[in-house]
Amino acid sequence: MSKSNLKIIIFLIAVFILLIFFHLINLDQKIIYEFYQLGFRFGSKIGNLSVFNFKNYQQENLFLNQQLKKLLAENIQLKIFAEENRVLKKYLNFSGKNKERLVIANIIGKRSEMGFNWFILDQGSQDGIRPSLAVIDENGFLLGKISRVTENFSYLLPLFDSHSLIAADIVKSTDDKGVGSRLTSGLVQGKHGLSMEMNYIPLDKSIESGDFVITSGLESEIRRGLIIGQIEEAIKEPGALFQKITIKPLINFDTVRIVGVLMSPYGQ
Amino acid sequence: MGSKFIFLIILIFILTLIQVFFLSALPILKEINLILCLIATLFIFSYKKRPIYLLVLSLIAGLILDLFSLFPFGFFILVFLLLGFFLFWLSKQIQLEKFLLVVFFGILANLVYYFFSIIFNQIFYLIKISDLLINLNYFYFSQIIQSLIINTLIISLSFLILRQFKISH
Repeated sequence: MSKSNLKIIIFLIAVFILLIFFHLINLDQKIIYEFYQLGFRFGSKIGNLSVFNFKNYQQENLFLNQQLKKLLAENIQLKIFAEENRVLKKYLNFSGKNKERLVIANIIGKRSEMGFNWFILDQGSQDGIRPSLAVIDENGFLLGKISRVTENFSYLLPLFDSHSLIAADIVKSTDDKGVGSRLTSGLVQGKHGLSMEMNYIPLDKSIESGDFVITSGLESEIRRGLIIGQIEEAIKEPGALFQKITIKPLINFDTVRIVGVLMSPYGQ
Repeated sequence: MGSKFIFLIILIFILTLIQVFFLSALPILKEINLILCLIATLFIFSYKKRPIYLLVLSLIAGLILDLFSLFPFGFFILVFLLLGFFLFWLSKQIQLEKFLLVVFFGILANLVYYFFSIIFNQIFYLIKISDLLINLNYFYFSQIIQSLIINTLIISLSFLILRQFKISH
């Protein structure tokens, strides 16, 4: 046996004896544990830096993406609920102030037939809705009248539809007699499905842009004072017997989703 | 023939659903009248073979439209029945093989459809069957013109496509 071989054998025996000793005092487990820890830390660092852990990373990414989508959907839902809550609170406030009964309805669709345009509401005759009732938004602005009613649905004919006719008064926004003094009455009709106009206004009535148009209360199912819109322009054509008024609606119909049907106190 | 007839009734039903619940809520597409286009196209292609069959289909189309309409029941039955008679008469007067004559046929079909609609609407309102009275202002007439252009375009395109399909088979 050569000298170098003997040295190796002695070294190996020493290592074995050392290992047995470590095992006896449980130091080997601690060392293995430390090695595991070290290996894990090292592996994690490598995994983070390299593409070795690509599969896990992909799965995690997928999971996080799903979570993100779920949270986004929840967030949108909460925003919708918050908006609905805000609108409903306003309706409650409106009906509380005026001591009127309101039936809250959602706009669930649009319908167009032979030149008529309707909005479909999810409340019908079983909720007490009947034709000719006024429909308002959360601020109390008039949106139109109920035109047709079925058991579960009702059809709102909006103010801007050319078939819509509402008895109205023009009131001054401010003047010497005070806010809201009546100037004249007439019929408001939808124009081009976009705005409204009022015809047959005597020429001697001084009407200015900015004056308000409100419901006159001459219709049995609609009370006085619901705001229809604001006067945009009073047109006096030379030689004409009457002036024509263009009314700007104060509501953007595209944004309205919840409406209130104002129950008339005179109805059944 | 029986299966074709049932297929056409189902097609009318599906087109009515598309028109009432989908197209009527969309800005320009609401002017499309799919049932009118279908009836006119059917007259263009089979007026020689089965005129009575087409009149019955017009009646059924009116009936299905009436089921989903906000106008009183019977309004579209009358309109489509009279339109069917008119198209039957017209298809005998003109040769429906030429493209320009088909375009002319489409325009007339649309005009007569609106004419009968207005007439029956006025009659129904006068005898108090309906409280919906079409406002005959320039806005309504501009809508009719829009509808006329779109529907005639659809009828003409259907004619071109179906003619090509017929030639290739």
